[in-house]
Amino acid sequence: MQRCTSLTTDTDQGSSLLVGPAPTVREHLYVPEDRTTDESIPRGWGRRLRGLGTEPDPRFTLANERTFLAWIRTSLGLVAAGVALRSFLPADLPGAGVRALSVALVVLGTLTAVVALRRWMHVEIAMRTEQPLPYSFLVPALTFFLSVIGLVLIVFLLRG
Amino acid sequence: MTPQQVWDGSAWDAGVQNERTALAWDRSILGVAVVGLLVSREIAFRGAVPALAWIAVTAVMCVALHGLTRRRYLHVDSALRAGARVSSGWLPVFLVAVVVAQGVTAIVASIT
Repeated sequence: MQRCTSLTTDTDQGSSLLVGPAPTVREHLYVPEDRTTDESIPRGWGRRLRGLGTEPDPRFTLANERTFLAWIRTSLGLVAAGVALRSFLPADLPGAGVRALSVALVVLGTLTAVVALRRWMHVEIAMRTEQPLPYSFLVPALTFFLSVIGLVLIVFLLRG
Repeated sequence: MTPQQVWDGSAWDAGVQNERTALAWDRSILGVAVVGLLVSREIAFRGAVPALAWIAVTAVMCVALHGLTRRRYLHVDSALRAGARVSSGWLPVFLVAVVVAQGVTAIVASIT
């Protein structure tokens, strides 16, 4: 199978991949415009991801997949909470406010799914190129937004 | 008879990783089904036909996802038994597309 350590780094500098910044999808999977005709680069980012570095231990690949799925279930929970919010809250609460909160939860859930996919890819690239796992802003961001939504909901319930 | 065909009482897949991953996929697909039903309930305020259509779309998505994850389970199973490496598949991209479709539909149903 054809292997490529990086699309933008010289292959003779392979050992330098052990240190450095967190891997990015752009660095490893995007083809620079001046290399779009380079036949040594696999076509399609899925093939490029599979051809990157070396295959990690299957346990780590599957663990990464399960972590991604846990995030997906979190995002589904947020979407479900957003849809259910309008159905189960008392009718005397401000309609526009509840609708805004509902939409905010659904948007947050949808974004969480997209960011989880990005995180899954980053971890996959990091494992394949033997780099440290990247830091995720997903946990603090989700905590912040859920806290804000929760506080607004408490205010609604107390004033309603 | 090869050594792999003789069961020694221990799990050949240490930690039963493949089984746990397949179950995680099943839980996620069930979550998609529940969200699809909630979204169709929201759509039902605009008419029964679009709501039923969305239930059908969700069902097709869930069946397709289940079929693909079942195929991946068997693929990973045979790869692990052969001592081969396991490639990351396309399924996460498909699943995220399904979740985004549910979220966007919920938003559209909510604000229109």
